[in-house]
Amino acid sequence: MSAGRRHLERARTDRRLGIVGAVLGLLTLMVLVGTAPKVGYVRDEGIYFEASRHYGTWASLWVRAPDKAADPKIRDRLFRINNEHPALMKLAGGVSANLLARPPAPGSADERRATDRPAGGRLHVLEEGTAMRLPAMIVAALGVVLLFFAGVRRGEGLTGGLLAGLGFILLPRVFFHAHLHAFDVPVAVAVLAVWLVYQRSLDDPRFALLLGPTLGLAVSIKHNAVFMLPLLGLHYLACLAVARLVRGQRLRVGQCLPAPFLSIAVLTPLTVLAAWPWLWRAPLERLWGYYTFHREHAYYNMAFLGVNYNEPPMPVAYPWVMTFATVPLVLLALVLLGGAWGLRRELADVRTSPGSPAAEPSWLRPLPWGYAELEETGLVMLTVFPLVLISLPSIPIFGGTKHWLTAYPFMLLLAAGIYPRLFQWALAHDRLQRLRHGVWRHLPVVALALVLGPALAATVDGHPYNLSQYTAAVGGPRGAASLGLNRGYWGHAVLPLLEAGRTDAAPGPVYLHDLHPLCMRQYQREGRWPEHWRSSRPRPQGSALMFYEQHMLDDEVDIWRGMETTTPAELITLDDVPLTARY
Amino acid sequence: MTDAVSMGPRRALALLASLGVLALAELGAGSIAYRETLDAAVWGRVQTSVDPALPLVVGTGWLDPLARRELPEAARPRTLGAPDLRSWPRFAVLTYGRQRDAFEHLVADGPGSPAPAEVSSQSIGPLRLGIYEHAGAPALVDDLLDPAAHGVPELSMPARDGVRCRRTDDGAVCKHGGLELGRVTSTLAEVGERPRRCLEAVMADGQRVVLTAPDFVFGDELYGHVGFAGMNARLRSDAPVTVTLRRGARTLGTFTFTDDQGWAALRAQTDPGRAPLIVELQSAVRGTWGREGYDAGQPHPVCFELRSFAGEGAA
Repeated sequence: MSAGRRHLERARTDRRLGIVGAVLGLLTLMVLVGTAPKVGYVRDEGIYFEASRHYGTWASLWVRAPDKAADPKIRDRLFRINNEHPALMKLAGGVSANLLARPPAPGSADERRATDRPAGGRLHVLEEGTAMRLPAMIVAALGVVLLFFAGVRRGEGLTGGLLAGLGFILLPRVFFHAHLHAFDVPVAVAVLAVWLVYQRSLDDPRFALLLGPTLGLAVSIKHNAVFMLPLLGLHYLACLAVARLVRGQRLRVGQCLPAPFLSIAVLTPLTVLAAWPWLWRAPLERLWGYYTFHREHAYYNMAFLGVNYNEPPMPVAYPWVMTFATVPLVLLALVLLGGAWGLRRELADVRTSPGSPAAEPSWLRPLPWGYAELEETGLVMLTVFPLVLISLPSIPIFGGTKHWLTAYPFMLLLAAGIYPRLFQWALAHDRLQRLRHGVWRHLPVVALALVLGPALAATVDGHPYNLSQYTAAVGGPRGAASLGLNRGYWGHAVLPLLEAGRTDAAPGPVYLHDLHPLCMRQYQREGRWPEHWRSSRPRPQGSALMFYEQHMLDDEVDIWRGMETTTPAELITLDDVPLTARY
Repeated sequence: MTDAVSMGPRRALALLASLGVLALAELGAGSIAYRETLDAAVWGRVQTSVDPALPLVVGTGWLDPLARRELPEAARPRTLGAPDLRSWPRFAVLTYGRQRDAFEHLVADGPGSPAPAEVSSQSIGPLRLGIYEHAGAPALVDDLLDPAAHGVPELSMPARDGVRCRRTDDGAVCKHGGLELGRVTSTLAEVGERPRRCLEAVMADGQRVVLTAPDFVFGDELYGHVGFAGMNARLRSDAPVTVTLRRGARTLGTFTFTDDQGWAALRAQTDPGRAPLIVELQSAVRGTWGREGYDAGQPHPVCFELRSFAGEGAA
């Protein structure tokens, strides 16, 4: 084949892959938007919705009255709410609602009060909650696209891309969190983007310039991204050490002040500052407040193997066992295989001199081709680090698996690196050569159905309660309940009970238990909350909600005492396991 | 990077086959795990199999709310808040398969008690209904929580002048002026992540309350439990409670418990017969310690129950 023909063929393949990636992203977004209304609002979303209404008001002021938006007093008043988290996703949620949200439901208190944007957004196409969730869902879909292309590169073809992209979004916990107006999936995607940009930035000044703002945006989503700075630094130092100590390459002065890290030093703080108006008035003081809030974030409850923990340390095994219990075994096996093979390959590679580097290293191109990239080491580090961090005895109890979702994109990339190669190697067998041609050459893609099947089955079964879903390896939700693993912690599994309430089958008032009052307000704004359900303590003539968690039994006993019954009227279950009761 | 480290075809094939088997096994296990197994027909069969005269223990923790919704026997406060299994010579246990975590908790809650033995069982769908007996167990003679026999015991605070104690709908309260110094309620409370039917006493800091059951029937031993209710939201309490048991003027024993002990058992040897049972409770402080330090405003309810037993196996 001539060089021109090869180039054409490559361009066609790239275009085809581009189309597949775009379709995957679009499909992901459509599925997420389509399934979101069934996912009840989690506690944290209640406050983020409220914050988004405030931040969205500020954004709309920029259009209607810029002088007011620039007024520090007005800005501080609007951004004071929920200032313990960066503003970016909430601001995006507010802008999305300004554009797409339906107005508050007729008859709701918000509609009657006719305050904060009673007319809804410019186009009344989505419920306000779904509109606010939309930016996070778009980021999740972008994550699938990014993973697809990164997987294509690692797996040298479509198979690796599909495994990485679909493997990520089909994980039950990822699928659940991807719906939410929250930060956990967005920050996982942002951290992946930081890594991908960083890799390119070592040999391309344009990406070096991009790295600082990318990390800035990631930090503006959630604080987990801050850890990328030391991790990237460690990775870079390891690359230099391999160059000098293993390969005997000379280091240049410019490599000590590399452009990617200069970009981070200058542009990351500026981006964080720009994306978080709350900081504008007193940046250092308010950053310190942000730091201390998270440092003292210590008293969440979390059940693990039958024991409830409400202060650190959690058992070191906690994130590892929970990962085992929530990520299908076949994917975990591929991750382990991919990690082990990748590290072995990298060890062999660094010992092999690649010849002269393509260019002299400089501050703009600190690691040009020919210097060790240590991609596999980087992926393993980024996979393991979030779990190790949560394992540390001094770390506050933050909660569930969402706190190490940042590991999952890298896990999937490790899997994507090995899976297509296993087929390549296996099909080198004399007797299997024919499977490399004709319709058989699609075998690796078809076999993905088997590899992704367990994740798909778990996610389909668990929706919309995938926060409580567990893999078949631990026996699903029933097995996990018997093992004493956490069943849920966010007061969201409630929508079918609201339907019963709206048909007057459930008397009011209602004891909300773990349902956040701001989530109730959101349901009210959307006309989904039974009108006669005012919030109250448990009382005999009303209703009470009960969200099951190990440490919540005293609340159920309060319900029994207050309502003078121990018999729930309705239960929401996942594979028999009670998640929520209505008394 | 080149594939400097590749794998032989046989090894790659073996790994692929292993992954395929693993995926198939997971899918197979998923087809069992990912479905509802408890439908109305199963519960209907359980309902017809349960003997309403026998206490019914739900032996699988997560099954409990479902069982309470479906079976009136599972929702009875007496069985729901059982202190242990000791009071029942014969009872039924409903479990999901052989998952018996809640049943095993109840067995462990009665240290020194004979272990119950399963005498029969039947499978109903995925559920298992077992009948258990306590062979040669001591017989229950009296129960301080028996409303027919004792109501709520009389409450007094003998060490304080000017204190007035009176009965309420579900217990008794002692006040000095407008200040409430002690309150006792017969109720269900949560202790150690289990519901307990008990007398719940709340005392002001350093106060002592005395409960008297004038007509209690003693056997060969008194057996009971003490625990602190509602400890889940706290880091720790530390303040102990001292429990003194008297038969008339004679002291049977003094016991000290902290919240750390959960649902702690106590027992004392007695002579059979009818006599006043006097229980004195004294707590140091009622507050709790959290991240902001000591909070005196938190109630510190002491939950206790006492029964008398006679015969073989009693102390």
